[in-house]
Amino acid sequence: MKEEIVKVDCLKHVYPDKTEVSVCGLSFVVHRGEKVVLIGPNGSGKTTLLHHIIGLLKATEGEIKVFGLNPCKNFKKVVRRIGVVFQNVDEQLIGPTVWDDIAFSPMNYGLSKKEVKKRVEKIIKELKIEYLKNKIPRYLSGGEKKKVAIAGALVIEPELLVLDEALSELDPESKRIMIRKFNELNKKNKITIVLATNEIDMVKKFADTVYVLEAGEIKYRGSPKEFFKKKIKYEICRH
Amino acid sequence: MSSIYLIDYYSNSIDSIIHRSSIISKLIFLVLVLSSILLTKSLINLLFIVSTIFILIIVAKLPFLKILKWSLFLVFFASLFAVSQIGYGLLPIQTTLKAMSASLLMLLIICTTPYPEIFSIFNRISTTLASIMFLSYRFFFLLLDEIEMKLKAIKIRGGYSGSLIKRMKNIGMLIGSLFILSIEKSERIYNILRIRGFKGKVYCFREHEFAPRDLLLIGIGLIILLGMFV
Repeated sequence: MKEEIVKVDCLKHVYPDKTEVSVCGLSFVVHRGEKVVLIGPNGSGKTTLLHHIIGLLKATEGEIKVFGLNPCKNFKKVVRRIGVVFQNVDEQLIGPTVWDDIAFSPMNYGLSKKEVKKRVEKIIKELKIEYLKNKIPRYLSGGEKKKVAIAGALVIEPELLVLDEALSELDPESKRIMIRKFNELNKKNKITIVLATNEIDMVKKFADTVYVLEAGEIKYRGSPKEFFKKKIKYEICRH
Repeated sequence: MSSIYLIDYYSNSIDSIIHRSSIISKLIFLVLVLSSILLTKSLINLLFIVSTIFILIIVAKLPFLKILKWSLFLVFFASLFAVSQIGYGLLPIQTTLKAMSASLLMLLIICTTPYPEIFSIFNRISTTLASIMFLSYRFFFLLLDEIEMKLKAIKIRGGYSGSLIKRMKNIGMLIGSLFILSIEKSERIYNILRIRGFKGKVYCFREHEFAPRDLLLIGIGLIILLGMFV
């Protein structure tokens, strides 16, 4: 049996303005090396769930385990093993240039300058963003910013990759490159990937397992094949 | 887009002997020239300092007129003070020139040095101080973005039309929402930094090592300082 990387059981979160988001229904389990697509309309609780997985939010009710630990209580231990790309990448880009931004996490994790350089150059080449490396993140387009954020997440060689609408602003060619890269990393390094999206195409192109989240409830869990065969009702994401 | 973002562009994308100088030599130069500006009472010395900085701005391949324009913000406030000195001979001109040379000097340094390099030097004094400066700098730019976007939204949605009171009400609403937003944003940015491994220390990958070329800036700084005693 494969190791459980993420396990979420009937999660409930109350925001300070009393907005309640609960992710209940079927339990959310991600195994090592699995590619999970979490699909759902706006406000269905996808981002809340991902923020709990990363350890940014503390659950009011329910249980969440990442690498067998509570990510909120063991934030430092857990986050070191996770690469994250947020919905709003503007806030995520920190470095003065693209190169510096990608090097930010490895530098902070205490890797040697030689190792940082090696990793940054490698990921820049693999994601085909050499032309961006000396640019100022501020002046990049939305899609380019996403690519840089993805590079920044992959450079730490994470075991779990959490992507919140990470491919949404990319052009078809860039999307293809990123999906190929994710698949390659998943195959070669057994990286586990959780992708939240509202694009149904991603289920076909990427998922091993699909979760459909609607109004805070996991309505469906299964393979993409079954998902399309059963014609799961999900009108909002059908463009 | 606010032109203040150009500081990042100038400090990272231009290559010149000043850009390649180490942060140590730049700081020594800064201290030497600032001391000279403070100490001097001679108009000729001040003119010499201003013209030297002008030359260095050109050597650094920075856009001269843009830098001059930015320096005028400080000159404007200094000139308000200088007005009160009218009747004291050359003092108002000296005050204005002192403000101008100091602001040009600071602009020269920040437009030729990437900010992690500037902040990482403060690690040697205090990592907390370096972190505060880094976070403030980061937050300032994001807040500017937000203000710009909100102002655009107000404009597009007709917030600038109507009476003066109505417009002021809308601006007041903007300030209120910005206050709440800035608290939320600071929390988000802090979380993002934690996720990206920030532990309170500012690192700089491309720090320029001290090299013979650094003697140029230190030498110029010393000449300016010694000029005060001639």
